[in-house]
Amino acid sequence: MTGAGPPHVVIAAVGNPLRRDDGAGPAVLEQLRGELGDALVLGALASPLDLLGAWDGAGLAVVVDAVGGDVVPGEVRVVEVDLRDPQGAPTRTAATASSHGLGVSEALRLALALGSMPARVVLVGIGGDDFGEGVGLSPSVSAAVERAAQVVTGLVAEGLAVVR
Amino acid sequence: MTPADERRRTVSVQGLARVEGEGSLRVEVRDGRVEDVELQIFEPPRFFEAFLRGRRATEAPDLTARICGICPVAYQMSACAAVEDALGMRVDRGIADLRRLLYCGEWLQSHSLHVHMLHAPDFLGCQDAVEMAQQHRPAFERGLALKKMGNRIMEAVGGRAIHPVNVKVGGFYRAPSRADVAALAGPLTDTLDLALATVAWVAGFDFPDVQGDYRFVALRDAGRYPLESGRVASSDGLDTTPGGFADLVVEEHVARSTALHARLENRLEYLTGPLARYALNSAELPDVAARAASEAGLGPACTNPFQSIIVRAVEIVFACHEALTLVERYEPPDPPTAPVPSGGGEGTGATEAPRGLLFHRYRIDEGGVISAAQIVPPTSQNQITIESDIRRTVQASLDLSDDELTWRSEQAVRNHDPCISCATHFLDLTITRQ
Repeated sequence: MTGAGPPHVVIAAVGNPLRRDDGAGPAVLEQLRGELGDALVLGALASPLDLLGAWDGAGLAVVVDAVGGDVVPGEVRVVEVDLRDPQGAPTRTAATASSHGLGVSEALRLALALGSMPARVVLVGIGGDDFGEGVGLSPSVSAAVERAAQVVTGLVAEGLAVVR
Repeated sequence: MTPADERRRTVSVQGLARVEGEGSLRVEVRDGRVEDVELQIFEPPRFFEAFLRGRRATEAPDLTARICGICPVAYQMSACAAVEDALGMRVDRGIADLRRLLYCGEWLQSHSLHVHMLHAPDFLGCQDAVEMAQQHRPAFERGLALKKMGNRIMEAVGGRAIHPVNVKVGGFYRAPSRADVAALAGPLTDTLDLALATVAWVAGFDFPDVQGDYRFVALRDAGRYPLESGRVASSDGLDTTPGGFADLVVEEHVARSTALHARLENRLEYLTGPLARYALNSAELPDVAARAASEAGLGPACTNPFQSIIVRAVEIVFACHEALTLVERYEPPDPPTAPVPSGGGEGTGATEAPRGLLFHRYRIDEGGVISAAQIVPPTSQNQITIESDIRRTVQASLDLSDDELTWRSEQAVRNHDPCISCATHFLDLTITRQ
């Protein structure tokens, strides 16, 4: 990122690679290492709380995270967050793999409360299968990493084009 | 309802299943007397003790750091101390100072999260951190700034903000440069002012008038507030090495809980954590922290568990000041680690995790492999005392409605910041009356 102003595009992954498929988000960022141009890459956050402050003033924030619920393992689901009501964002985050952390959903609600929400927030969710202890992604999730990376690349290019 | 009319009340707080943290609380009241209190906690360290067997002793710091995402440094420091004790190692002052600086970062992260986002809502009538942020934005943002300072220290010394990768038995893989550490000084100076504002803020909260009768246990470290080393002391005169203390602790299995309960010999319950550290070491606080404590109304010891939030805030001041002192005199240790000798032995290490004394004990065979491990976290040591606190608090609050009584009971748990504290913010409640 160049210039002193707030970053226009911020990208972060959430998840714990030691909780198997919870590491899908960090795996996507690893795949894209060095390929995200002028976007501010926050890297893999252990706590979504760390999004607060780092993404203030951004035009676009992309958060890559493993998700559970009704998302089938290996599915890549792109969710445009409703900035007035971020409650419905589907996530399975560090909050469920930690007794203390707050989830992406809480981070979004906190950003709303603090008036520091980026202009646009997109969640790239990857359906997980196994969130148990251990390293390595399930085969279906591993296969989805490439597709998710392409989605992220497209979103970042779109976001950066706005300021060019 | 008029609770006093009820002959029997059951306050039951059911925990949502979580991967690492699971807790529930049940209180039975009959004829105006608290009959039974059960705090149930799921404890991950039990599994770690088993899978450490057969691993190299030098792996212990990185493996045990994974027990907790909030206090990985505490696990690393206690693991290093135990292995170094077993192998007869001593580390230089420069390495010890760098460990202390890293630990300050963790205290800042953990305490500012608990004070501003988990504990303060109890006193301000907020349901959760989001409501806190909406109604008390400046304080919430101050908490974020303090936590961020902790992250910066962890990144500079530990290599990253969570689960640092730079710690090893004997010291560090790489000493941070003088410039990287010096860059922390300016932000730390600003953060110290924020920390002082936090003490003044929490001192203005309304506190229930509850006094605990505690046996405090904490480290004491020759003329300074304890963090990464020291002897184990108690408010009733104990003064021993970490190994001597471990010999006194009896862990017992309780059928209703997956957690072991720790007591001292003769079935004595005890409390570790900020209240204990403060009571045994308040004379060692630097002037700026001691003054803040005094202005907040604290004496040399504090036995009101609800006021633990003030003590935690004072410890944030201490951590900022201590970090600044260490940053200003920093010289990169060269080499950044002491050599690890071959051979085995048995050793114990104890350090002060944000929520209390954490000790590890390892037996290491001649090949450098762990053959037995014991990890006793603060929450396990505090559990019996927390139950006593709940008993005392509920007994003194029976005139409250069921909702208020449940809120007060949960507060009594959160006062001690156990590893289930955020789970208790999201618990479902059922009340049964007979």
